[in-house]
Amino acid sequence: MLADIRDASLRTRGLERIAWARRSMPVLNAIAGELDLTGRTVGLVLVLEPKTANLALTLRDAGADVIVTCPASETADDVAAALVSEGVAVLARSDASPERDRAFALRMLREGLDVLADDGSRVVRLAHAENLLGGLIGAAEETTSGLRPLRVMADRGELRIPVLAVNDARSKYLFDNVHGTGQSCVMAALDLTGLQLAGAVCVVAGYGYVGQGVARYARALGARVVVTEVEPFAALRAHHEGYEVRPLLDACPDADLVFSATGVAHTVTREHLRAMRPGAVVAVAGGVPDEVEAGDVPAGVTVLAEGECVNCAAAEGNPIEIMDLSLAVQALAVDHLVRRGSTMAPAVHLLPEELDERVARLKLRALGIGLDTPSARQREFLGRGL
Amino acid sequence: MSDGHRRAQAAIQAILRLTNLLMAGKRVAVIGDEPELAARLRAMGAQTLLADPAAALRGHRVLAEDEAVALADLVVGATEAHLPFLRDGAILIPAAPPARPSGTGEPHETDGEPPTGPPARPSGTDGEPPAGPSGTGGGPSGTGGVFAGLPGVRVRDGITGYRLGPGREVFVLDMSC
Ligand SMILES: NC(=O)c1ccc[n+]([C@@H]2O[C@H](COP(=O)([O-])OP(=O)(O)OC[C@H]3O[C@@H](n4cnc5c(N)ncnc54)[C@H](O)[C@@H]3O)[C@@H](O)[C@H]2O)c1
Repeated sequence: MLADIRDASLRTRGLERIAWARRSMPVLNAIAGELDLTGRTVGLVLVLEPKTANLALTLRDAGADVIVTCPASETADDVAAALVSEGVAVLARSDASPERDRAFALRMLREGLDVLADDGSRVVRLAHAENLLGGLIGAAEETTSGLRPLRVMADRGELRIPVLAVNDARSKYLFDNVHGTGQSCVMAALDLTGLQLAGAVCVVAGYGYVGQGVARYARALGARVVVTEVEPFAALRAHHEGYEVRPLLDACPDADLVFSATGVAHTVTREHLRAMRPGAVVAVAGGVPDEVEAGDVPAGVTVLAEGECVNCAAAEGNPIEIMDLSLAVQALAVDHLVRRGSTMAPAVHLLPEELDERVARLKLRALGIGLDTPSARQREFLGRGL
Repeated sequence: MSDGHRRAQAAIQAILRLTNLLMAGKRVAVIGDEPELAARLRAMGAQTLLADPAAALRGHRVLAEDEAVALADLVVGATEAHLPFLRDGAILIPAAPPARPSGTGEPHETDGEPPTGPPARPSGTDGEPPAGPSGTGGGPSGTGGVFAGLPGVRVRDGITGYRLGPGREVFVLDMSC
């Protein structure tokens, strides 16, 4: 079995954290029995922490050979050790250099994957560049910023495998991007700095799904929130939800805490950093390279987690219940690719609607929440089209 | 800034850091007079359960204390008196122990290596919740006041599990972690 991890003796703590997460993952538990991945090799490139470890174990229990790899900054060594002790192949260590991380990804690809679950589309793009697609049936992509380059590749006719857009499933982005990322990025920034949010000014660059969540949780804890945008509808939406909307350069001098929630490089530039006052703190909730130009930060300004996404690089990632939804989508996407991938065109595809809805219904059932059903008279009304 | 706001943020940070759970949608019983904490939790999307009738005007759900505790996923300010009512899986933040003269009573030690073998049950309980453990030796870990005398099992850093009876396990957070 492949294993290159930092310290196998950390496994007990890793196993404890995996078991604690499992208690709050009813949806993944419910679908586990329905997956059939016998004899398949699945590569996982998700943030290596207790929740994604439960996905790895679920896929293993469904019969797959699972290989996990993850960049150093997002690797929890205790969870890596726990997975190895459970018979999962892991190539990930928190002390790996970028070159070694790349070598891990290449080694995983050379093992001959059937399906890849990627985050940021780093390994899908690497497999294209290095001609290592081999027998890969397809890939599932976790996040907004990973899908963007894949759609560009598809438009240019360069994408050679089908990709399922896990991020674009409603049971993922409506909860993970908004509530999970919002809560966990705000709390990570407070844990790292000791800042009191009540009465502080918090600037949120970008009011997409992630920005809406960050703004909401910062406001819930008492901050005065200022939103910055480049897109008119997003800006108007923020305005109507009660936030001050201003250009970023204008807001910087007032800020105690600045989040970039755009997922676009060069959102917070050196010029913005120079406009901040001493004591200001900057955090990334998006997570692409150079989202904050963290090269030479002016004295007195702090960029958290070296400009990497603050909840993944400096805390335990998104909350467990939220990852239960996202990882259930991932598991169904992997299973769907195994069953149908060979008939799918090389393009970015949405997860079939019925699988997405199944995740939402399973979550409602786990919560004990009942729904109404439209009555016959209502269905008749709707059918009339009036 | 008021002390209530400071305590509220500190408690929310500790709960979420220790558990890695989501606050939105949780039923949270807030025991005791912590209006800033209750307001913050509500704003984060928790369904807050309070005993003070006036709290209804601030968007909280008002219930008698035992009913609130029996519904709660999370109890802030839990005491021994709540033990019979807790649901399986409930997470407890113990009420701060009353100030005591220094040098008395060590807390029940639950950290460190997990014990071997299955977790012990409180003796004499068969389906019934325990009749309230004896002893009130609270301590810096904050758990002694609620569970003095019950054997706890380490779950992960800062979380100790207690079996109150068959199919009923609750988790106590060590807010000093
Ligand atoms: N940290 C995490 O756990 C996590 C989780 C989910 C998504 N993400 C990442 O967060 C990023 C945002 O995701 P999303 O789903 O919110 O995307 P989105 O497309 O919904 O939102 C991005 C918003 O940023 C705005 N924007 C772009 N450039 C801007 C600029 N220079 N200034 C101000 N606003 C600008 C856009 O108009 C848009 O409204 C992505 O990189 C995504 O991958 C991170």
